[in-house]
Amino acid sequence: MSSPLLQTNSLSIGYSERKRFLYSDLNLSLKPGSLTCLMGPNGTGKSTLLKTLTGIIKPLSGEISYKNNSKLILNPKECAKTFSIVLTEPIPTSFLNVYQIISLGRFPYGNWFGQLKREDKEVIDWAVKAVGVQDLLDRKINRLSDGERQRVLIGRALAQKTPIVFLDEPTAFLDLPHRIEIIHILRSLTRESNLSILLSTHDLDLVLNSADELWLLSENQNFFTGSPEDLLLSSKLEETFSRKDLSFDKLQGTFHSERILNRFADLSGEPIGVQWTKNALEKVGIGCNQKSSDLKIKVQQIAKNTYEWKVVFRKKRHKSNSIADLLLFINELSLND
Amino acid sequence: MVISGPTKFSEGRPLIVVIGLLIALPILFLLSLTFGSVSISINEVFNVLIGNEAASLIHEKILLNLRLPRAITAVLAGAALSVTGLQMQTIFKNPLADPFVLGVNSGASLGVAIVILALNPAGMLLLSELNLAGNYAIVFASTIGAGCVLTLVMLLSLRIDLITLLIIGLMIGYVTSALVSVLMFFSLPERLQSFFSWTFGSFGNVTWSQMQAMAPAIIMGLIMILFSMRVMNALLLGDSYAKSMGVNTQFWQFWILISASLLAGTVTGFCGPIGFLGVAVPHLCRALTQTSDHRWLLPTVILMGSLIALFADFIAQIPGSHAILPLNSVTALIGAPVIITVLYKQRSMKQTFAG
Repeated sequence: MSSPLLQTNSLSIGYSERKRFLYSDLNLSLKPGSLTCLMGPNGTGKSTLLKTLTGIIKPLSGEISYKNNSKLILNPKECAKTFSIVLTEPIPTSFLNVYQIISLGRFPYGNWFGQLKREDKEVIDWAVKAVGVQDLLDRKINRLSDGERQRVLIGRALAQKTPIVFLDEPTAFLDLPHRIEIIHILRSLTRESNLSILLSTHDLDLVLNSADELWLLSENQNFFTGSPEDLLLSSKLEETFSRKDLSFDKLQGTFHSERILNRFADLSGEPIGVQWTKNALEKVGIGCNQKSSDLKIKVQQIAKNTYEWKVVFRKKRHKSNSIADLLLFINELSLND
Repeated sequence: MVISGPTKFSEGRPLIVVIGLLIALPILFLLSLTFGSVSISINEVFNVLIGNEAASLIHEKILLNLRLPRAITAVLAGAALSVTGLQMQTIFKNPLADPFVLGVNSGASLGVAIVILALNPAGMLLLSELNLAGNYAIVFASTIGAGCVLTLVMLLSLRIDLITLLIIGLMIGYVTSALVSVLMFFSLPERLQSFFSWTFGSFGNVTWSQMQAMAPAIIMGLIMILFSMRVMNALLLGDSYAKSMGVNTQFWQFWILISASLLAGTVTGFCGPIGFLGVAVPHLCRALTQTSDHRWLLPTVILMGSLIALFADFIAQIPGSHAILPLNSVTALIGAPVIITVLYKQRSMKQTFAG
């Protein structure tokens, strides 16, 4: 078992001047080669925790040890060689190009003029390849897309060559393919380069698919850590995000807004077809799998990518070739209610 | 394997610009010595500069006692103001920041206004107005005025963040200009005239003995800035990133503000409040070099600042005539079109690529 890179000992966080105590007695640790996610509803103190761990805010009590050294956090130069950060805040526009931004990651290792040595260039090249921006090196920062900019900023953090990388909502503004891309990059870095990565996120999917460990902050000042699956099975995930109108699907690991179902259908047939028909029906307030229903739907796959729905509703028979048509048929008959 | 990287591309342009400036600056420097109300041939200028005897003693006197200190002052002041503008734009992350955002010039003008309009010391009446900016009393007054405002701003900078500081600097500026207006309202027209001639700015009032104070102060300020080059690059990503890379942002902000104050305060003391160079030159240099790397920008801005200050002074003297234009009007007339062109081009470029 490898020793932790970061360890906190009965750490309390919050703001002393505003007399806001957020969490107390936190005993956290980050191990090399692991991807840890930090989750919690808005306003529960994810940023405060990240700021405390990176030394921007002083802890109210307790201590933070990096590499078993509780004094390290007081030394900004050592910190810069121990952990690097990727923030959500936009960076000011300038003429900096991608290569220059990534080279800035070598700042903690440079002299006053910042001449890049051979070793620096090798680290920069590694970082460039790790985030896959080889073709963008000459591009100015304001001409990058959101996904590219995020990769460049991660590249800058990597060039800092720190064993720990903190990321504040790195996937916040990205579309699905780019989210997956970023997470894939981060995950491979934990596996191939043995980095320890902590990222805050709102993306439950991402957490369940990628995180080795989950830190869960809840509104009533509870704090849970563990593997995401354990926290799901013990309903900690559900409790943390519980809302009046929200239900948690433990099987899928997703939250739904509570649906009011005013009709039920007996749905059967080909599994994939059934799954998405059910999805569509629930959106219009029709629950499924009630044997005692006057609405019966059978889904069949008649060719590749082609489905057919046979419906019996109030003794009227209908054959639909799309879900849209199926819903239209049900809706028309329901109008007579 | 080492990727060759974009270094060739991104450093080629600044290098060409710097070389171009290194060639143009001495040429303009010599030209500015030959032109003036009295024409002096380039041969004579060379002779005097290398220590030979000139054909005419008067020409030698004009060159050594008037034109040479004037040209050197322009070079130093141009460099100082432009570099200070660059620093302010970088640390405030504001393209409109200039050397005077913190109220240096308003402090100086209040000092000068008090001396000329209210105290009216002996020997400073009326006719001496054209030489006023070089007068020791004026230099002293404007330096003290600038120094007071700066001390106040420095003390504040230790306790508040930069943006608040920027706004407070602006407010201090309003208060001092209001006080100046009050003083102006109650003063005699002749004294107003003297005060106005100070606000026009001039490179031509620095004597050799004053140069012994001005040059070392400016050179020291420039050396201080050299040490902050790399930190200013890190600050381009914003203060949070800079901090995370081990930059002691508070120390460097203080360091940069002190060096900027030294430079802007000195120039304002000896030459009057010279506007526009500080805003325009950094923009021009960024547009020409297409880089934000201060290791390139700083030398470019120093050279370009000197060059444009020399050029402005050259124009202000209207070669071939005896009239002299107010230096501040000339810097604005040269500076404003430069900024407008540069910004307009950048804007349209951005749009093309964004589409």
